[in-house]
Amino acid sequence: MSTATLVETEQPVEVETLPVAPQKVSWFKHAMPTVAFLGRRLLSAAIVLLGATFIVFMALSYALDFLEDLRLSTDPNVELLIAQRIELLNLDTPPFIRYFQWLGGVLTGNFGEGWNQFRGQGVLSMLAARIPSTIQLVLAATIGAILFGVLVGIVSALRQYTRFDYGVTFMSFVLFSLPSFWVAVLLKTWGAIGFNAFLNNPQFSVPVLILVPLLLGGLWSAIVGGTRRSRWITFAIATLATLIAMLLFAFTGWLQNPTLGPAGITVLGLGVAMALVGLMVGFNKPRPEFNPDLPASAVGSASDSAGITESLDSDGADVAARVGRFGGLRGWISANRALCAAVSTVLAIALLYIPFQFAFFTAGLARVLLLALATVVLGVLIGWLWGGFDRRLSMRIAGLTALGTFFFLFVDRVLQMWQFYGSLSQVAGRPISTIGSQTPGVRTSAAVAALGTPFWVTTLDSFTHVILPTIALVLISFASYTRYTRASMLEVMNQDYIRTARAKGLPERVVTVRHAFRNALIPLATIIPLDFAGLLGGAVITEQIFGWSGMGNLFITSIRAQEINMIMGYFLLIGTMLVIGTIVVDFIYALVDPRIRVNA
Amino acid sequence: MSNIEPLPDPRELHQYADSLETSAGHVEDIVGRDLDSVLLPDDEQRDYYGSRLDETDTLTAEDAQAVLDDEPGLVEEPYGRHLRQTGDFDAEGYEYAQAPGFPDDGSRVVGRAADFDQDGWAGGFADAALAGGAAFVDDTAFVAPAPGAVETLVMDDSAGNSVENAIELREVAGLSQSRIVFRRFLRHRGAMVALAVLIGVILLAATSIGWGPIPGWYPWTHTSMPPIANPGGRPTMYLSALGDAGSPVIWYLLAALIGLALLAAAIAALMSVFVSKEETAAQLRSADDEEWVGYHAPLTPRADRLHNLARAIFRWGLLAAALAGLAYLFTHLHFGSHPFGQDNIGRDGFARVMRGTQQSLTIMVIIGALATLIGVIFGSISGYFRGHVDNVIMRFTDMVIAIPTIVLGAILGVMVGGASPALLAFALSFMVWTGMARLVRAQFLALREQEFVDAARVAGASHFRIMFKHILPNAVGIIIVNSTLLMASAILLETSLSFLGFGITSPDVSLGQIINEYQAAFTTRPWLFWWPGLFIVTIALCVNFIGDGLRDAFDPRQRRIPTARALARADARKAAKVARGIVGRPAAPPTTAIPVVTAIPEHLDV
Repeated sequence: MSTATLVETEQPVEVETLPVAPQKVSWFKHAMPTVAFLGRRLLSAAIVLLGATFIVFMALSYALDFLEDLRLSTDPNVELLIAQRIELLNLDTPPFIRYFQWLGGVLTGNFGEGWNQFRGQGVLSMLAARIPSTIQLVLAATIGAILFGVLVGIVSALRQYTRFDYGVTFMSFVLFSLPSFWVAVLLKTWGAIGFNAFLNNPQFSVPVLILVPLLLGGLWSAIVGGTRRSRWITFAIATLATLIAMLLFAFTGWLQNPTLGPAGITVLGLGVAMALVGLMVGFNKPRPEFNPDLPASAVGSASDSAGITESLDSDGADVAARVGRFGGLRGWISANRALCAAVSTVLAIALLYIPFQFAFFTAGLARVLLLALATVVLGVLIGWLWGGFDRRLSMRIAGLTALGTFFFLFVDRVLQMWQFYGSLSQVAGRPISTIGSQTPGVRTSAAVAALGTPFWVTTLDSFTHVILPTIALVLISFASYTRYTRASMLEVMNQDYIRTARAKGLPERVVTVRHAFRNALIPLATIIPLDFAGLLGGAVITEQIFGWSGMGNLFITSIRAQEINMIMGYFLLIGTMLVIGTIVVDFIYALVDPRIRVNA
Repeated sequence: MSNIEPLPDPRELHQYADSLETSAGHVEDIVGRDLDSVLLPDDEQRDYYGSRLDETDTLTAEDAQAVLDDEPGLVEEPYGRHLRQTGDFDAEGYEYAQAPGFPDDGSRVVGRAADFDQDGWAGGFADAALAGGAAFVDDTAFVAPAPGAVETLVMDDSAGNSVENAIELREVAGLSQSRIVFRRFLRHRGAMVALAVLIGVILLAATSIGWGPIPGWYPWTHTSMPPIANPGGRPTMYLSALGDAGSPVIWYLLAALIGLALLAAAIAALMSVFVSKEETAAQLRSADDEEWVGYHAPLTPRADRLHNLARAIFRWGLLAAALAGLAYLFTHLHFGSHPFGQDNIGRDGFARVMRGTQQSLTIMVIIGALATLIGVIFGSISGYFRGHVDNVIMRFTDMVIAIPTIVLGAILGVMVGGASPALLAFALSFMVWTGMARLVRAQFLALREQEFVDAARVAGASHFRIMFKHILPNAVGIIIVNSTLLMASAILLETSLSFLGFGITSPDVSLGQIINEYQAAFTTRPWLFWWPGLFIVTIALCVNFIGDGLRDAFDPRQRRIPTARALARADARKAAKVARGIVGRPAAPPTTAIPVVTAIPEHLDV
């Protein structure tokens, strides 16, 4: 369904008319074009879906050998069995007719049931049973791939034609060329078996201790960029920090009991705070307290300029006296209220570490969500208390910082179960798993039952199972987001409005985050809904390798067992999702780009 | 200084320029001018300079000098900065438009003012030229006076007539379109390397175990079951310790030591340059300018020499180390009888991987060709006839697109179940043509409105002739590029299906099927699936890179950008010329008496 044929991108012709009294247009008339568009699109989608199901059904009918097992059978009454099978599956009827029988069933709500491996199981109940585990697997991977891909793409675009950019381009090509099954098998070898062995004896070899810090140092210096001198300084700092961290990991045995503790949470939370502030407001120079009684001109000319008082003449001194002293701590706080709010939020949460542990002790998912909400409210409150003329910004940043810090609090609590989890007999010191979505027996074991709540162990158990397939899926899918974002960002950065923004004297941060980034997301908005729509299809290959019984596994099992109804049900679901996804894309496009009219 | 945002690019400043008729080339030129006219329309900058300059309204010579001292980036070596543009260099990196318009360089055409302030690249060009005494002929062009004759502008008004384009045009003059594309493709380094590797892989796969009429030199085939050589079928290929092959160890050690020492010396020298106080503030300032492709930050002469020396040492050190490594590899790599190992019944890993590579390559090529054909036929009919035909074909395309590739692939794979690779490729071709069809359709929709199609129609050409003789050759670039990229995804599709057991199945061999077969042994015999995976990645990566090179080659917007190395060579040549006194213009250090200020153009007061 090409967007161009149905959504015209022509510019509406503006005709200057004399102002007339606004006519009252009924909401119905107003919505009419949209409704007509939607109707047309839905009709078109229905036709496409009909054709696609027909193609799949016919292909399946000719591809699947429903008598496969009986052909090799030595049973004396094999003739009878074949006759029964033909009757059961209605094989005497031509596939063309059978398709319409299936279609009639679907239209009356009867999706059929399995006959072979899934004998007696309804298609709908089977799908309903598989969807949750597929979503658990693919949702995290899709979101991770989008976030990571967009981030790398933007950095790559901002550092165009640097080594980092070339490196990212090369890596994207490599990832495009990686067969997912090979990645998954290698991940099982190194990510699970190798890593588990490493965890039992976490010692780094000397080449690793030399190479990894150097590589990470180079990476950071490429990302941070700047002058040659600052790149070398970044390189040195990052290399040293990595080396020290690795040595600490190795010598303190942190990897065997990896908890964050209040200190770790504070440091990571401060990192979140700095990142948010750096992105959303930037770090400002001291500025004078805002005093509404002063004439605007005096404030305007004096604001944002450090050290100007020294060079002011007598007139200026007069102005300075009216504005009051600025610079120093007070001026700095005044200029950085959001930063203060974020930092104090982190500190407040860190001080509440012990109470949080009590609250967590018997927690389930509901209480954790409630606590998260409470933490965000706390952050917003702290932001409000810091006040200033940009109070809402402070509240927003403090709330987000609180959420980030709470995330680390949560991770810390999950990781507190690490040693316990590893010592369970079912896990046997090999925490990273290669098969399935949970370790059998962990949820019902006596040791877990003795805990205040099984929530933390089961969370950790799910996490250790989902991590490797997620990495595999992210690896093979994030490169396309990177390329897409990079191209889109580069195009936006060459637009006139970016030049205008720079010419106004806006800091590069604002130009990038507010003007460029938001517009660069528009083309992405057209592929992301489709990816989410395709999400229910599951990851056929990855599920296969990691023994995950989701939708992809259902498809493969069904095709091996000639379960035609299951396959049709599976395809009907994902086909519908994809077709709806394309319609959603058109609407999103019209929503974010006002030049496009859906009713054209 | 760290709190001050760096000044915007002069490129952007030129956006404000209405004309280039006057120039603030020298410090004197900004002396006495309105502060607003020389500083940026940015409060922060104004405050900064304002505070520095006692908030006076005009600049004195001392003030201007103070600004320049403080913001060394503003101080430019005469002509040093803005002449470092791509347009100044020809294919070899020679300075082509060398110092046009400078008094000592003869009078040359510089260009049209419109070109300059449009994209700003040549802005400093104009400044410098004007500072050198150039004058406008009219408001679109100017000429630089020379001691001798004065050449006036001869640039015509056709599209793309800046100096940059002139060079580009000169480069492609007299060549056919295919020749130009081919040349560009040959220049794409990534694509060339990928092509070489791919040819190597194909040759290896074809000659080792034999392919059709080609005899093989490898002793085993993919079906032979020789006795297991190493315990567990371990690969016999290994890298022996130094000196193991009876080689004179001392030479290797010496070469490696020399290489390492050179590397270390070079790194130390590079760091001393970068971190030393010799590094001029100008260089720090110009970090942003490095985005200006080809622009070199000016170093002080001493740092520059040191830098060049360090680079040379680094290069030689790298070469020495690489040679030592290669020599070591050649003498100490032992292949043995089963370089890629054996499986549990003794079948040779290398032979099987080679067989799989042959199969996968065959399937890749067939899919690429057939799917392209189908896509082109559907797309061209759809785009050429439009209307109902287009509607029907496009709805059908949508239907095929609505079926996920792996789902349809698995069904088709089961349908042709274990048949020959050619048949599998044939079946898969009928599902991957959709993207090509849509692209070709879009091309045809655009091209059919062109005059040459009307001309052909008036001349009485049939639909078929117009479509395939007139329109199709114009869409061939996009078709070639996309069929290449389609092949890259085809090999991944085939191997994935074979891995799932729906493609090539045992006893036949494909790269995906090998990985599937040995999946269970990945803890005991990991080598059995390292190699097939590596070959899949290599082939897909090479094809992707070739596709990328083709895309660049067909892209009419592609511009050549001289490499940093070519620019460095041009620099060195120029320096040598200057040293020999051929060019009368000495390379003035940044601290000469009257620096040219190009970053503060006067024409800001618009």
